[in-house]
Amino acid sequence: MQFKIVEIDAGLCRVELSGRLDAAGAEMLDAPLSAHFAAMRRAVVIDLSDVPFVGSLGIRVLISATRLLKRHGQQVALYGANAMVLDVLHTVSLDQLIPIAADEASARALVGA
Amino acid sequence: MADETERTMVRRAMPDIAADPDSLLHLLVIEAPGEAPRRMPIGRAPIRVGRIPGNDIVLPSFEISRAHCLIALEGEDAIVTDLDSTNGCVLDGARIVAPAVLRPGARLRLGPYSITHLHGPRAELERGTEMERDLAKAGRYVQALLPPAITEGPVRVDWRFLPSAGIGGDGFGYRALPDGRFMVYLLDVSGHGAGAALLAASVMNALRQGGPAGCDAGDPAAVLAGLNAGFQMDSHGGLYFSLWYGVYDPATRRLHFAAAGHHPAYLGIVPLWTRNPAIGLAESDWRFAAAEAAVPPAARLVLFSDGAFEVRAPDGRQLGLADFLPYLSASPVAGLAEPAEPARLLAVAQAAARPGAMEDDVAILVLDFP
Repeated sequence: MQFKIVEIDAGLCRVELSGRLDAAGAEMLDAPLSAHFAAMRRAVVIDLSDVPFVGSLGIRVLISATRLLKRHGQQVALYGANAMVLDVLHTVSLDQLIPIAADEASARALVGA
Repeated sequence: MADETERTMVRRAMPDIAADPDSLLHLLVIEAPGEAPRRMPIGRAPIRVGRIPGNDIVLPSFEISRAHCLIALEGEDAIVTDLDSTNGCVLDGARIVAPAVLRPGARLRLGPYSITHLHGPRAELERGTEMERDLAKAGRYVQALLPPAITEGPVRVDWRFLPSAGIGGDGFGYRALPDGRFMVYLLDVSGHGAGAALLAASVMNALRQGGPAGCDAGDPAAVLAGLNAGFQMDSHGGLYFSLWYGVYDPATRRLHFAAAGHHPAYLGIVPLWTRNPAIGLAESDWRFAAAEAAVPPAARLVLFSDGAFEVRAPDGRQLGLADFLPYLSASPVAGLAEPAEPARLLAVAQAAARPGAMEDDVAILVLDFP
């Protein structure tokens, strides 16, 4: 599990996740991503197009990381999830907590960037 | 729960090996459906596996021959030899035709059982044994909270529960409320292990004692909101759980229900589902949606955990809910000597999965409304 943060402009970042967000992936991602998000003062769009699987612990990481952003008034949206991942996100109704878009342009629109 | 006499038996004799913690140990981990894994070191004497008493490892299934196979050390290698068994020994997916080396991590499938070979420092492997014992205890505690089947009255309930080796964090319960209504729920904590079992037990105890403080146990949306406020992920070790909660009123034959991050329950073949985040994920003041359904005479409600359908088929394919649904039957068949419905569905789930222990807990509840 890896992630890359790309600064798009003064108000927006793209976070590209790659790898399986299963128990092992979630553990690898949790601390470093939270550290970045706690210090982030920009809106964030998260690219899931290179994530083949999201398990229950992966969902937890997405929620706790985005809570850190929202605490500082920053908007966040997810995009690019494949059909199987999207199905998992909908079952736990994650879209009620974090907006989910089909592509980057729509995700940017959702965070107002 | 299997009768004690039907359980896998492992001879207690210890091998004659040095007690030096750094010495290398060959260990067999024996997994049987519905039982915690058992471990047996391989010593100088060969280990005979078979169906009948007198074997060193007794696997009481008709798929196992009386003397099925032999596992013995030859030099540094553990070797498995098939003793002309009827159904054979499948080593890492292929039936063996001659004595074969069990590499460290190799998995031997014998009927519904699996035996994994571990090789490593004695101290490390023994630590694993202790942790598995603790995990088995956590699992037994959850099982002790499960209510008995109900065979009479306006709601009849039967269930089967097959905990996975790693303890998947499933729990369920049901009871009559003081006003004559009947509540039922099924929950699944995220992740595996003792932490998941502890949270499952906490929630089950809370629901057994009337539900979250200040909530009407007969109001599914209020119960979900109360649990969500009380079990926030951030203050419960990062764990959260999915929940299906329903309340049936025999006077009106109506069922109020709410699902939180959980797949539907099925009334006959009709999915009963509401869109809510799993408990603990949303902010503590989240408002949960509920819905209701009419319960026709002789209706049947089936609740099950995702362990029943999120399995890998023998060909490695990942199965999902859609693969399990065709097996749900619309209503009980009167007068037929059928196996109990939960047992039938559990057998379906096990047949769909690769042989050996299931990867996740499987809980199946069937409620009949005569």
